[in-house]
Amino acid sequence: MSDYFFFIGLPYAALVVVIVGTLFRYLNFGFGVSSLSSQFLESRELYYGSRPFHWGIIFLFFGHLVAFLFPAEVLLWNSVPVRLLILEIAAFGFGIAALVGLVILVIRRLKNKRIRVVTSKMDVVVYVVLAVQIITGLWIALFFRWGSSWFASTLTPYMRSIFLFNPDIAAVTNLPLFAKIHIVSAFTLIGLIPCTRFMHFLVYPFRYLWRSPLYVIWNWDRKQIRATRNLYNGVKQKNT
Amino acid sequence: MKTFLTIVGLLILSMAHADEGQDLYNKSCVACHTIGKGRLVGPDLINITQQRSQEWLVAFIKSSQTLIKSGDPEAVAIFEEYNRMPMPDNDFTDAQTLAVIEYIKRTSAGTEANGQTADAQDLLSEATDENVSSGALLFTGEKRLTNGGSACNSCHNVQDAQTFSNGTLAKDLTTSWEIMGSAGVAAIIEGPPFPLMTVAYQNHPVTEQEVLDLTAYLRSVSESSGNQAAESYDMAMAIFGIAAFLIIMVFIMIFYPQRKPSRVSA
Repeated sequence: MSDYFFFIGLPYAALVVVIVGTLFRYLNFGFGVSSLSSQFLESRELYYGSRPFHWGIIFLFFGHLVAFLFPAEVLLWNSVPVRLLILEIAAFGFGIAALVGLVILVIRRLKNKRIRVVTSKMDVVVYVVLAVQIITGLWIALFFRWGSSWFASTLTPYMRSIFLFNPDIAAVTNLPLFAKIHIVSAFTLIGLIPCTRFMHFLVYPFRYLWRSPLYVIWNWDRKQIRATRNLYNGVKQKNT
Repeated sequence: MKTFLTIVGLLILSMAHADEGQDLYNKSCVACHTIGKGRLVGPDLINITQQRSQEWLVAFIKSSQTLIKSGDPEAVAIFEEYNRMPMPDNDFTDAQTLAVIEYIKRTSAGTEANGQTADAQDLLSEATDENVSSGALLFTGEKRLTNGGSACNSCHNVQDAQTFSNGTLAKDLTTSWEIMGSAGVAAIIEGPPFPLMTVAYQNHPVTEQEVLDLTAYLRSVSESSGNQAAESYDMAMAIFGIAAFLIIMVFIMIFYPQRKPSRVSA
């Protein structure tokens, strides 16, 4: 019974929420869709957390997407042992990068008062789901090898059956517990997209992935502004 | 006329029911069992309905492991006798399970017991080193399966120093041939009863020649497993994965000095 809920009900619920929720948010609060950058509040740790996290998560997302869209090609690539090892080790490395980045970002949020103030409950939820997602993924890569191959041959048919509205959960229900948790947290994450800042990658015109990074930096001396006595309403302090 | 139609209708219905039992048997049972042709991976099912009660058979077919874990002495004895090889659970309805039992009962009635293993005539009697080499390449995927199925090492491991495997999702196959014999191994490759394998190969059936080659390879692995060093990639994956992560971090750190450390207008 729970299998039907987690591997049929949840995926469809997540897909409905992500489509309807994204449209609703765009149409009603379009200008509120943002990653809510906190780079003004703290920059250095953000760099060391955000970079490995994003590099890791983007590589892994597209890795899974390729295995879903082109399973035969992935199996062909993996037919040479060295290539299989390169793929698995690279994916594992990016997985560690995503986890280390996430840990740095969480620590940054916990220890920095200014960041804590702008942290919402949904941020906490996203952090928890992401942590579960990445840890179970690493666990699978280590102890249930070779994921890139068996994903293509057993999970791709499941995913395809979901999108063709003819769900077949025979394979997925027989996977190890960690793999099941990984799948459930993935769909949970998809469902959370419109409810969180996670939606920022859908900001029109969808250039988040390849545009140059925005570099947010103060353009005046904050210390001088704090110390000045020559400040009154309506006039911004200039640098001397 | 009405009576005739009723009889015909009932006959058609009962035939449909029987066909369902046969279909389910062929889909889920035939890889490991025979009816009157000897033991395979599991016992010969001839006259099983006379040896066990219907309730017991239904429970065992639906989930043998549940019965074994409950301590049922007959279930435990079978589990031990057949090398602790777990029979996969079957997601049958009660009616479907009864249809399978009915099919076994009906087939048993017209069959004589063999009393031997189905392996008596080994399908590998004419297998050569060429089959073994070909099987090794098929196992690792270096030679693609004709119908595009994934290589065995995607999920399985064998202790063979000459072959790259180390899949750890499913069973280690080093002693599979020793446990199941040629007919058992071949039957499972041909029509896998395990759900993950069923899905993986349902649209990519393994050809007869490939079944032969893979079985020959697994026999050679089984026969020489005592001489092979067991390799594990657990630590290697962790170490190389961390190395890959460090390389990623080096790239990230190279870019950091390009960032301006403070306000731009100073």
